[in-house]
Amino acid sequence: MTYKCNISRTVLALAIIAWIPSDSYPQSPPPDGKIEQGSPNIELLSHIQLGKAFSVGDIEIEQDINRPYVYVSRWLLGGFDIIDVSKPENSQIIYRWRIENSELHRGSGGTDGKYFKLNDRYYYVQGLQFQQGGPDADLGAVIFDVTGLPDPEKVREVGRIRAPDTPGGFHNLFAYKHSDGRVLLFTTANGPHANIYDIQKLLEGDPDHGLINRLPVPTNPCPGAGMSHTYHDFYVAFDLETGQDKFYGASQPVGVYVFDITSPEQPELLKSVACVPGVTRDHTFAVTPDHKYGISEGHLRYSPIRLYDMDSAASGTNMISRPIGAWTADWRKHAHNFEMRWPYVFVSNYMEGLQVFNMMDPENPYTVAEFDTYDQPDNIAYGGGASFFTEVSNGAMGLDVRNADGLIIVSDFTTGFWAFRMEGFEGWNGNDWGMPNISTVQDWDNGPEGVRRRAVF
Amino acid sequence: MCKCLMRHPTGVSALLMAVTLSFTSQFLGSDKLLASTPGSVAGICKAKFTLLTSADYYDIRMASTRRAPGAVGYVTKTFAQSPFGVAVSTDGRYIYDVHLAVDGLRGPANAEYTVWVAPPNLSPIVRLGVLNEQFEISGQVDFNKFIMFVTAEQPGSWDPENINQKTGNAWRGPILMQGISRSGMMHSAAGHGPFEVENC
Repeated sequence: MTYKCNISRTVLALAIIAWIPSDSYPQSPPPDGKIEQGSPNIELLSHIQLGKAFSVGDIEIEQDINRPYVYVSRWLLGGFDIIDVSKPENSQIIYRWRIENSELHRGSGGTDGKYFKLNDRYYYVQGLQFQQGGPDADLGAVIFDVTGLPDPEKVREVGRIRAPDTPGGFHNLFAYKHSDGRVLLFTTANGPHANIYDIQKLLEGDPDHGLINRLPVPTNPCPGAGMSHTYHDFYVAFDLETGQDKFYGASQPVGVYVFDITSPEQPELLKSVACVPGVTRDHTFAVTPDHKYGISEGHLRYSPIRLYDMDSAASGTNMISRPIGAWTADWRKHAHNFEMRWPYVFVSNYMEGLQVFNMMDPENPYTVAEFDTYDQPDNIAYGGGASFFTEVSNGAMGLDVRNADGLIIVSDFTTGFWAFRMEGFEGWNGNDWGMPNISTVQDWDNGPEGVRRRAVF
Repeated sequence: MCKCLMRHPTGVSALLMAVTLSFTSQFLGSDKLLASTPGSVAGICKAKFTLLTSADYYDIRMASTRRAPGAVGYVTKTFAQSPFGVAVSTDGRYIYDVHLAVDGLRGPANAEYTVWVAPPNLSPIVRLGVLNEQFEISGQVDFNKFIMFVTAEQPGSWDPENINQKTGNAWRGPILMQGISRSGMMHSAAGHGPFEVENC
């Protein structure tokens, strides 16, 4: 009896074990608990590992589909890589540049880069940050003529911008085709201003590197907020409705300032986004193509991307201090850079990788796509995790979008270069959405859309 | 002493050990607990594992580049002796005696591990000399802030004519190690923007 009972129990136990679904067995999920790497509407085209962690900076793609070149800034290494994406499924590094004697340099190195076109030639400007104590602390950027790509032998350096009175280089850049026809380069500086360079003058050998003005960081209007002392990043765009070129500068510690730079030599402060509860740092800012709504990233843990009505200044002031909406991929972390292609906002969201949200209703933005480029431990942040309580900086660092065909590229601090397509997003033109065709993408030949229309009509 | 006590402590234990020794030495009125024995091995040991006494604070830890993984080096830096108290150069800069000891360089057998010294802007460049068979070198430096670095040169590759050339480097070989004087870490406040300590 006992023997039979034991056999029955054994058979029963084996049957139960056999019946248990395989996914109920103990597993070791990835650190963020996600098994699926991306949403089904994101197609991974290619991925190139670029070396050691934190050696990858921001990323830029040329917009002419006949020039399929991507520029990846090389953090710490002091340079950049050029990637050929003529076949996005088989992207290839075709060129590398590093500052001479890079081993002797100190600091972040290559942080951000932008391309531009001038007089039928294409250029790439690499922003650099080197600390004092080593060479080139006064070097802000190096400019290359890249017209001859894809032949790497034809890439040649054509100029360097130095700013010896504000050593530490340029962290971010913005290349802009002004409505007056000039190609301007806006740079951050380790001083209370943004530098504005006239590229034509710079390439002609102007002794001041084409510096035409320094756009000041205004005094923060919020009592007790302290003094904003530098710009961290900016967005510059033409406002079709007002006919103004506008500069949106995110300053640090805190405060976003909007200038009319229709005359860059005589900028006029229009409004600010300041005194926002919970915002202790302003990192990145952009506006919709019609300049009606702004989005802001504060680079603070637990802090969402905030959305602002740019016409909501308090009565009698020119200060916007209350967001109307917010979006986050993971409330425990924070985002980094973004590209506005209304109604979509493409976000390099650090440890959450590529994220895309829709802000057609700015009070209720929602996620539409994602792909986790960073499947590494969540407790490894830039600086060895020392800033982990306030920042969670690792993973997707920069991104860009090619308007011609919707190609999305991402640079990840740790995992390198990625290329994607989003289902249903086969390019972007603001007019298709009933908006001005205004984004970070410049029409180097014709200038801002509204200006071209004025000329036509 | 250093070699025996601190051969392989972990980072935390080394820190605790050094702090304890440093704290104890104050009561004992002695720096000997942290003093190193002469020679390159002790110097390298000190570079890897100890906190520093006030004199050691001005020494230089040499960092290897990716071309010389595992190499370690340490520079002791003291004021040069002078019958007049403080040794200065003809243009008024302090003169320092420096002694570099290196371990772990594994290059070609005929490589001349050449040591260079230059201010942060790399001009002028001084060729201190070639590491001896014990991988050591001594010399004098009279820069306020300076970088010291080691390159692997081929015998006879160095051309003294290149030393003052504005174009190109005085050296031809790869940079294997580099270190910066403590004074080089003093920055102008003008350049201390938020991005030098924050990430992005």
